[in-house]
Formats: sequence, C-alpha cells, structure tokens
Amino acid sequence: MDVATNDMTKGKAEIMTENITKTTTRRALSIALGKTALCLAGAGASVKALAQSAEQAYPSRPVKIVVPFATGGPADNYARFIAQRLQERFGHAFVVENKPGAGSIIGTDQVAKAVPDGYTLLMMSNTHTVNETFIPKKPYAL
Amino acid sequence: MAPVNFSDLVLVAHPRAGVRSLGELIAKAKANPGKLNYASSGLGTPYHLAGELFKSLAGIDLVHVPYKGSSNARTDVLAGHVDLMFDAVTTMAEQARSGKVNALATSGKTRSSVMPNIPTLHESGVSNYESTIWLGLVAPRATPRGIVNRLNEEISRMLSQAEVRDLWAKQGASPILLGVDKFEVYIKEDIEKWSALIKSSNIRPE
Repeated sequence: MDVATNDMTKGKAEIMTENITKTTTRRALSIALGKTALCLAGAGASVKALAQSAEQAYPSRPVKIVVPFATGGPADNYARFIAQRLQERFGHAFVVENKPGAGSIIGTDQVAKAVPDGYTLLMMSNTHTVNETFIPKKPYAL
Repeated sequence: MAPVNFSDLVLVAHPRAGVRSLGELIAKAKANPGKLNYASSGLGTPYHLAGELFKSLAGIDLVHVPYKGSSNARTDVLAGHVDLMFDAVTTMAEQARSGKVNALATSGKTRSSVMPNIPTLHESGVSNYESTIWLGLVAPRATPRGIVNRLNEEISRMLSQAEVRDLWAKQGASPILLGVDKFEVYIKEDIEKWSALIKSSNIRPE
C-alpha cells in the first residue's frame, strides 16, 4: 500500500534507518576520497547486515492483525485461527484487532499508514478489491 | 503477503418463487424480466456482486433488494418476502435440507464440500461464473521482503496441513496457496474483474 511519505507519517525505525544511511554515505564519501575503496564496501555491507538481522529476529514483539470487519464474522474467525497458529510457531503474540466501519476502509487505512515493519498486518477480502472501483475516493491505495 | 482461503456461496430460492433449478430460474427470469428479486447484505458487498455477476453472465434482469447485513436479508428470504439470495453455503445448507429454500447452484469453480449434490453455476450453463468470498493477509507496501516471504511460507505450511483443510472444509472454506508475487497478481485480477462488472452494470454507491 502506498502511504504519503512525509516525515509526519514516518515511524521511528524508518527515520533511524535513514540516519544510518546518511551517515554511511558521508563516511563512504570521505573514505572514497581517501582512496580506501575496500572500506566503502564494508560500510554498505554493515547497513545491509543490520536490516537482515532485524528480519531474521522477526518477530521480536507482538504482531497486530487488523480485521476491518466486525467480531464473529468469517474474516475475524479465520484471522484468530491463523493468529493462534503463528503465535505457537513464532513464540510471540499475534493479536487480532477488529476495526470495522465504512465498508472496511477505517481498519484498512490504519494499516496502510502503519510503520511497514511487519508488526501491523491486515486481513483483507474481496470487499477490498470491489472497493477499489466501487469507492474511488479512499484515503489509501491498494 | 499470503492468501488464506475462499468460501463458496449458494444461490437459494424461496419455494414461492416457483423455481427448483438454475435452468428454471433463468427461463422464468427471461420470460418475466424484472419480476424476480434477490436480497443482499448491502450495496457493493460480495453477496450483491455475486448477484450482479449472475445477471450479467446469464443475461437476465433481477431486481436487487439491499439490506443492512446478511442476517436481515436472510430473514426476508426465508419468510418469502424476497425470491432469491446468494448466501454462505454453511448458513443455508440446513435451510435447504429442511426445504425452507431450494438450493439452485453454488458459486465456486468446483462443487462445495458442504453441498456436493448441488451443481455449480458454471456447470449449470452460466459458463465461467465464479464468485466466492476470499480472505488474505497483507502488509503495508514497504514491509521488508524477507519478513513478507517468511510469513507467506509459515501460512502456506499451515494451510497445507490435512487437519486444517479438513476443519475448514466442514466450514465451507478451502485454503488458497500462492506465493507472494502470485497473490499480488490474484489481487490485481480480482480488482479488474469487479471493476469491469461494476462499470458495465453501472453499480453505484447510494
């Protein structure tokens, strides 16, 4: 999902990654000027390694599954079924949160604007694919 | 990220509508355009779109009666106030068995595990008809690919288990197993399918 990328919507993790990238670029530049090309490769690799280790450590805290429909319906029931299995598998909580309203748009918008770090997921259905045409004005894009 | 499952719908008719098969329904609707009506859980819901796709592919005219929620729609169909409805297979199976409604056809590509004696719309002459309710898990677009892939693998593993398939079959749901890229294509094609129908049938929000 596309989310407006101004600083207001950026999560802490995202800003941190950006700062790391900036620092790395600056350092890389000075190193390159000092003609130590080997270290340049090293700095790039460490940023990559950092991102990779975050992915490997996933999940390290509870994961939220937003269901944009009411409690007790099929989307809710199957979300809870999957959440429980993933919780057993990963050893971290997978929590279902019902956010019904406006034909799924309220809950969906919440996920679209969440930090894209794998800790906020959405249970979608063909209500969403219908809404792409049926409700052209939405605060998010699939 | 990963699809989860799909559930078939079943097209039912109140006995008063006087149709016992899909063929009879289509013949009656063609002879009396705009006379038969069908209930749905509301404008733009999958139940509504299932009806509109049927009208479009069968070339018939039925009057749509939107309700607020499927239970209100169901109540009026069971009472005979409305002729027809596309509803969840599990919800209508018992009503069909006890003769309160006639089950005419199910909406999937293949027959439903819950009502295996009822033909699909596709095999009853409405070629290529398919309209199910499907679910899937998605993450915000910039989510790291490694995490998305891992969750897809875990969910695919879960859905491949016989125990899960059997349990869901009783509830009328079948797992959908697709990789991340194929699921994205699946979503795109579904958007295009409904977009074409909504435009050609001129379906609008109130």
